[in-house]
Amino acid sequence: MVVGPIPIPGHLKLPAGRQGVARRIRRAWRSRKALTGTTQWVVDWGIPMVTGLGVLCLFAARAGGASSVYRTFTLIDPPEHVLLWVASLLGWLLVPAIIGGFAGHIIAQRISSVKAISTDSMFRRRPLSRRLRPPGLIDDLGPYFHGSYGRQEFVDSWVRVVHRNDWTLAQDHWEVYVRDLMSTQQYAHLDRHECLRQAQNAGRIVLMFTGRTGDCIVCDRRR
Amino acid sequence: MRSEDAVEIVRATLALAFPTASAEGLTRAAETVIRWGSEEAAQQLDEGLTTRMLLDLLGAAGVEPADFRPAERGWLARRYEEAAEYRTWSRSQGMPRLPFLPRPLDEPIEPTGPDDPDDPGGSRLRA
Repeated sequence: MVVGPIPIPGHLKLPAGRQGVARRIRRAWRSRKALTGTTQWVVDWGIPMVTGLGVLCLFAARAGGASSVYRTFTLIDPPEHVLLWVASLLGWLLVPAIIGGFAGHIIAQRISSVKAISTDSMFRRRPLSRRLRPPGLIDDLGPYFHGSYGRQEFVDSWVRVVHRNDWTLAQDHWEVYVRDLMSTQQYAHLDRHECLRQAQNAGRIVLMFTGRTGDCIVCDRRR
Repeated sequence: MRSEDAVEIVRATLALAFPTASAEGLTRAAETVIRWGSEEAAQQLDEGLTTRMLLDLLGAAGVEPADFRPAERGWLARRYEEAAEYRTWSRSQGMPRLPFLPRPLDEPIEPTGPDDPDDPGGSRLRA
């Protein structure tokens, strides 16, 4: 039992409505695990590094001019003050290492997998619209209340029996479970939509049945 | 539990609900769940098929249905489909065998003579 002495409610409570902005951002952040490793690295590290570099260049340009920042960053001129020293060091050490490592990884990956096709895309048409479709999010459990029998059965077990009608906690633990399932070898190499679909399907099956006994592995590990 | 293996995660989850299952049974059940997930087996369920699916999973794990203890008494006493009914998921070796359905008898063929490609010796004509 997760919540201990609280009795199992007789009926599933209606969900509270749409998720708030903060929870939707958290769900999107957890859903990034459906992306490929390279895209995840760009989201986790590439974007923060580029942002930090942009802020540094902005402040250095205000202190010494955009031209001097560029000339220091590309190691044409010696640095003159602290911010330009930082920009010079970054331009000397960090940028070539990251660009070299990133490009090397992508090229090596393309060479090694030049003939590899994942089983889910084998024999299928691969239209451009499918490739360009934006990545999906881990499901919000609220609409499951009015969903198919399998989905209603899942939320009845997962939300009512295990989490005693606490939709917020159930949604949180559902997202954590699917996120960790998507990080595994079986799903990591799939297409981003296929990864999300398969991980959620497997998660729904196993959590629906283990939920009937009142067990939640996320509650169990966080106890 | 190895975080890079989906079977291990599902196995650890099932171990909470199936405490009497053996290690091999849990692994077999976890692999079955992963395969059902890729087959979208949970998309077209009803009450009978859901209970059937649980019974099949218990069979794959080698757990007796009486050892499965739902939090709500009587939940397992629901209607369930018989094993030979149509199901939306594949079976595993650990599940009980389906009843053997013999192939229906062939329609009797009228012998046409020694040129019949099904009976070049003309045995049917002689009989």
